Amino acid sequence: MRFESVTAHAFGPFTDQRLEFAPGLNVVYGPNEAGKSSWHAALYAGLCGLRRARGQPRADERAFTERHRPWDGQTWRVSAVIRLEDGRRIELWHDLEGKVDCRAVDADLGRDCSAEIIHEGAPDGARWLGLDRRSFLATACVRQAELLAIRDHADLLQTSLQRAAASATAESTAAAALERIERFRSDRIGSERAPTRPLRQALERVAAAREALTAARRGHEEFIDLAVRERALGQEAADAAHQLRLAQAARAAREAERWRTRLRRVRELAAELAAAPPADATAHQEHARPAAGPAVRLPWAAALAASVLAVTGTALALAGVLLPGLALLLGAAGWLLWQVRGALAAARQQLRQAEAAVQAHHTALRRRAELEQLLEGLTVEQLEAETRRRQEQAAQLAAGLDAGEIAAFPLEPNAEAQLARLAEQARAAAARHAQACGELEARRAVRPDVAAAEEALAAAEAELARLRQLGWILDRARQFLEQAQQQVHRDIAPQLASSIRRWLLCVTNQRYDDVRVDPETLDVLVRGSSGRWRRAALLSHGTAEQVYLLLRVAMAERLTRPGEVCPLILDDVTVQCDAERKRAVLETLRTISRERQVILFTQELEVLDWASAAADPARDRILRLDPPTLAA
Amino acid sequence: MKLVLFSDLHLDAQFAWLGPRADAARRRRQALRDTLARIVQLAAEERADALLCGGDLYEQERFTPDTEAFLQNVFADIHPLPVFLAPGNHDWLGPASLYRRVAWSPNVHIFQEPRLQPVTLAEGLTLWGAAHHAPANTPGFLDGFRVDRGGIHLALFHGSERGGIAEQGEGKRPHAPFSAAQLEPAGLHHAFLGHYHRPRDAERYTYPGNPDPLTFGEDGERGAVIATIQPDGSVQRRRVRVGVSTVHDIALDLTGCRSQQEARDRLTALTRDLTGAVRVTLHGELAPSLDLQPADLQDAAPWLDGLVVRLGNLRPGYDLAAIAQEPTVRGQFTRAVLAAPDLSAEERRRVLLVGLRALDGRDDLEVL
Repeated sequence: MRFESVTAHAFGPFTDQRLEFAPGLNVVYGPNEAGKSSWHAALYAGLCGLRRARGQPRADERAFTERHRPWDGQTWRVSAVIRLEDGRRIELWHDLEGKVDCRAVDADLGRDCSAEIIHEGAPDGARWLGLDRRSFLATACVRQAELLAIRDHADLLQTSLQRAAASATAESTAAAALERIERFRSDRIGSERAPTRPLRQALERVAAAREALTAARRGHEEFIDLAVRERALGQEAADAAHQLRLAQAARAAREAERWRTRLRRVRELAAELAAAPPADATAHQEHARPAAGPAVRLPWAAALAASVLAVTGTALALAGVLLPGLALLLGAAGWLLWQVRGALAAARQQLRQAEAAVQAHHTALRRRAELEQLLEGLTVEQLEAETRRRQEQAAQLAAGLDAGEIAAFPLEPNAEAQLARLAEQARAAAARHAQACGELEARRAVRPDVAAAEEALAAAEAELARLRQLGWILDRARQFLEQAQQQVHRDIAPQLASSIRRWLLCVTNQRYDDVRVDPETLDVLVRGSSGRWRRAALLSHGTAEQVYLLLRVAMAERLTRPGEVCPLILDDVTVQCDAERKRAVLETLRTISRERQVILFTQELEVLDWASAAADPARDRILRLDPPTLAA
Repeated sequence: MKLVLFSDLHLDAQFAWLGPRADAARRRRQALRDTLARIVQLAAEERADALLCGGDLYEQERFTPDTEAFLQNVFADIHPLPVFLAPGNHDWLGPASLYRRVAWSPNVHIFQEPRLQPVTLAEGLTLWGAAHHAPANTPGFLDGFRVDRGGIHLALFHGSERGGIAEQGEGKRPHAPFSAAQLEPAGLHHAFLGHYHRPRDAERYTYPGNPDPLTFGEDGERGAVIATIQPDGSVQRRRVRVGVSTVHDIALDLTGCRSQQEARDRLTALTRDLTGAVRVTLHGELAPSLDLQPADLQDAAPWLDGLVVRLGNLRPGYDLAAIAQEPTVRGQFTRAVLAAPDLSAEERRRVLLVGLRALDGRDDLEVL
């Protein structure tokens, strides 16, 4: 590819101005403020246009726009005509303002070929070279500052080569990229052993979260167990209290029954005593004594009669009137006996009556005693009141309890002891239950939050997974990058050496005849006529600059699509050179221009003079720039 | 007879998927309680004859101590409206079950047995309910079951209808499995169910679905079901949305975004009219200059309960085809990564971006 012309329709200070180029060396001379930088930018923009994409422009794009927008406010436009190696002549047209009317047209056939080179929304002529608008700058354009940097830092020779080998945009070397990845990994991930690094901290957070979750789950289980135990203890306490109530109710019921029985008996006794109160006991005894005495008293008439008969009989008997006498005696005796029997029966009867009376009296006395014993000093009314109270108390204690249970409750003979024992059991059970309730309340306040612990663990694990995956990605990227670096350096080293070797003798005035490029480091070594190999970085400034230019050409060759040739655009690359070096560089450029177009912008009269003498009119051209005329 | 049915509320569930926003998960758990309060209120307003819960009311493994008091009070508030609870696999009726400890108001009936037991709802209308006694391996309640009386028979239990397992997605294991074909031979006119979170209205059974979102991607009209039992045992259903929370799935196209702020502004605009929790899937072309991480978007919509960012179809904003043709380290790196057989699409994209950014001299190597 080579430029045939570039037209600044409205670009910086220029309006409808045009430069035409030769296929070889083009020296564009202009003093300061003649617009060299503007033409350089127009050349670039005429080929590559500007990116048209959504979003805000990049900083470098904003700087380019601010610097090269038309001074007079016209619509910013530029065009260029290029000739490709396949013979096509293409006119590129760029509306840099609206980026709408941008196109590439086959100037001979009139066919729009923009589609071949659309990149980032706009036609980019660098695509025909296998580059793009960013890599074209890094590949085709050599600035004064770059040569100065080589002069001041010889190692930049190697670095710039590495950078170019790494990426067509030459932002960074592969080694620097690898270091960047490694440093990022160390800072953002670190190793499991480094305590202050994110990975180790994430591992610790996960471990802590797992422990917290385990503790939360354990606390949850303990809370549940505690709740179950509290419930069981509550049941125990309720059962013990129930037993105590039953015992109390049973005892109260028994006591009430005893009082009821007692009252009933009192009433019975009272009624009996009221019906048959106890009489005077001595009268009965006196009465009974004669009846119970040894003598039985006969009535006097009967006794007199018996006596008369007895005497009469006796008299008769004595008188010899035996039979009548005996009969009278017997009759008296019989009469007497009969009377005695009668008297005896009557006496017995009397005795029995007396005895019965005594018995009744004693019974009444016993009843009275019993009554008094039952009353125990109380009146019947008082006894009735106490009995009622006991019954009420029993009813109260039995309230809510099953009557059958109360009746069936096995009251021990020593009910008091039994009650005391049951009360103690109920108290102890209530105490255990209360303690469990207290523990449960305390645990409730602590609130083991299992869900929150699970969420914290999930978050910690997610962070750990993120770091691990990031580490894996970085490791793979580094692995691929290392392999790519090795492979490309291995491939490019001999190609660069071959490319440089073609021009080395010529540009170094036979001082160096061979070149080697280290396939690992891309360090350039040259062999002098003495046969010794020397690092190009350690050569003289002039030689180093020449080697650098050759390297740029070599890289341009490597990076350009096969079948195309990338032009070189240089900007004041000899301004810091002394006369001899300047000539050497210019000769090198002329040599290079035999194979590719070289456009050299310069402000130096020496360069102009050299060009005027050395240029081949058939292939080369000298362009003089006049300072732009500002609109009135 | 009018019944209100709900299931799978999962009180005290964990919400790890909600992301790192402070208290987001806590607020979601409170929202579940608010939803239950709305369900109960609905039952009262509808003058329902009963409120039915098909299980998984709460999570036994992570309930908090005050859940007990909350449940006791929320159902007591509608006394004497009957409430029937059929414990599921997450709130199974074990010795330590919260169901055994709460002093329920008299209107609450909890089915206790691992087999269908009858409760008379009205003359000629019987509700058969069962409880899970373990978190897994509960056999089907309909196996060998048949009603033992006349009238209309309804069932309430937590179970997996075999035909619906695939539809419910991964992660659903069968619990108390049964087939819809078992219902009629069992003498059941309709089964009110729980376990499947996706709502399903079949001829002889109803899954109400979880009433408040438990994760993203829950589709279907879910909520509480108002079921009117017809004299012939058929059921007319009407769904009422009762959920307090909302979840949304949105996509954010990052194409053209050059900065974090642009991405945040786009997200803010997309979510401006949304509430609840939002899951945003990032897609589109990632500009080479864009340095963005999911964490950078977290506070772009602070009014949301939660914001979850996930990666979708993202493309690096490099012209990989052009770069792959470069005879440079960058070109070789790109070719090798594109050809690597062991990388997933996402891994490939991320490895490429790391390498290209590093070669561009950038230090922001944590790529989306």
